[in-house]
Amino acid sequence: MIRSRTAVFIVLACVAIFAAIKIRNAPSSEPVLVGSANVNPTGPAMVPWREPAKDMARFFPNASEYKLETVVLSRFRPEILRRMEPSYHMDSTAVYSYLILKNGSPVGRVIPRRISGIHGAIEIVVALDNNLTVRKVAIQRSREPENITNWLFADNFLSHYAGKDYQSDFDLTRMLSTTDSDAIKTAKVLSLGVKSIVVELTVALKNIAHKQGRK
Amino acid sequence: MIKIILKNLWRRPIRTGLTLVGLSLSAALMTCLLSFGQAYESAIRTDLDRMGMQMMLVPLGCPYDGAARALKGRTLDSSLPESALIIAQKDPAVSLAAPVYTAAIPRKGEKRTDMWVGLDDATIKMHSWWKFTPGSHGFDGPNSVILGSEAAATELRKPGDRLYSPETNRDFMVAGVLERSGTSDDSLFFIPLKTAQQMFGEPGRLTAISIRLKDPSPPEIAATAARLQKIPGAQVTTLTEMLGVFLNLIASAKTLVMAITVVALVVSLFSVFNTIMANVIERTRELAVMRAIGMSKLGLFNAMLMESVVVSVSGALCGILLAATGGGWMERAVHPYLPLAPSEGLQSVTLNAALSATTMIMLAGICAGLYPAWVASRLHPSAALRLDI
Repeated sequence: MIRSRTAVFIVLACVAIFAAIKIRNAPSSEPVLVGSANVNPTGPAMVPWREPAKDMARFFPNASEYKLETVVLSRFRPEILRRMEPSYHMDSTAVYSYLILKNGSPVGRVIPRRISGIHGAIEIVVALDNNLTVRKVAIQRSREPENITNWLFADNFLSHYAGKDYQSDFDLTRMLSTTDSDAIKTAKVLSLGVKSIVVELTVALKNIAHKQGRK
Repeated sequence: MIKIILKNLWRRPIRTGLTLVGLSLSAALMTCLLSFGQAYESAIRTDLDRMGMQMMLVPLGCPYDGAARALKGRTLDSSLPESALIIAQKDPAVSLAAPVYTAAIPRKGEKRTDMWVGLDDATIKMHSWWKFTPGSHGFDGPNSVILGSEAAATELRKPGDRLYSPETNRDFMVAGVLERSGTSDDSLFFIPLKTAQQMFGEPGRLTAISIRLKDPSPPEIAATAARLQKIPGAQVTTLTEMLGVFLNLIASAKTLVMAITVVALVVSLFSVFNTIMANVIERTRELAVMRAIGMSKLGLFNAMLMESVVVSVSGALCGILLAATGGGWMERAVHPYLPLAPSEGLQSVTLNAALSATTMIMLAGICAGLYPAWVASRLHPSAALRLDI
């Protein structure tokens, strides 16, 4: 009798756990987008990716879904700082990167980041290929005035970042056909932001891959 | 006795467990509601006292809505003429009249709204809870801005930085950044009053005026309110009235939720009744033997009643534990929807509330156990032993 009761209890517990897992993983209103656990969305370095569907269509037209991955940087801090300019202030210990998938296989990554512009925060979205070279850069939010947005946020300027990797020269100020000091300063900030994403991710992922290879 | 009761209850762990779960949920809900009610009232009183004002002048319309929006730094559909401020300042009973102009700029792409609040020195004096971060200072020109802590973090600004408003084409210099206060101030952009009025094309208009009296006694408040009520285009809302309205709103909501809790309690009661009654029926022979070997009717009655009390008190205790652990989460979930939500967190479990909930559930448990205990006490040993159970 006691055994049968225990069995019923175990079955009920299993059903409850299964139901809880099912509810947690239930598809959202946008079924193509796969979220991920183990991320604190209120963390200081977390910047929302505001238009994932639209950006995915622009950056990776054939991609079907994405999932959030957290790459911890703490261990690689000295190497990252060595590869960046002395003025770079590394204030985050992790990169929140969206792994873009096509039929379950990764085709690249998208990383949104907030950088300090002259007139307020600028949120950039950087798309990287699987080999961690820049595919595209876009601006998802800024407070900058037109004298800056006209020059810097246009596709013909941002397209100069395409193909750059962690060893490239990110200084694009020579590409600007303006002498506006605010535009030049913002271009530098923008380049530093894009470079920091590429360097941080490359250093961390290469080290992780190297370590896994040794195992 | 307790050992026997526990042993009896443990014979049917699933049934007892489910009864305990039902009771715990009712107890947790009851404890949280009672605690929230008490903590909300005290926190809201503290918040309003801290503002150091006794009344607000708001544009014609719903005075409570107007005052609540002004207090939360939200916009109003209408505005006050600046002449209302001059009249209020001249009133002999008024110690300080602080004008505010609030406007919103929705940023649809970002799913947020920039709230710009225009204030003058008198209004800043009333914000006694403001604490500046190092390097900050007050307004030092028409184009200076003070940022709430969240606004500064979102815009990555610090004192001395520039801040541009693309929608109104205005460039500001960040004069100060406030430390986190837990109030709606954290997400606001504060600018000089005149700048705000110009920026949004409403020179000479105000959203609200906060009034501090020289003598905040009730008769003085009433007399001043009656005088200020005569200002054209304005209406007066005293904070006592507002507090009353907020507490009434909360009381209505509390009554509704209390009704749900009572239903949950009644369901749990039936569950206790069912558990104890089933115990009596299942153990008829055992109880008959106990009667046959000399246990009195009263003894049997007490034993069954105690079983009911043990289940209900255990349920209540589990419920309080649940409220203590999950109450914070519930408070965070409810906090944004409270009118004039207090700046500080609401204590999830108070001793009073826990004692009240335990007492109510214990009384309910006693009620639920009376009939089964009475049935048990009336068992006749010979008749009971003849039953084929």
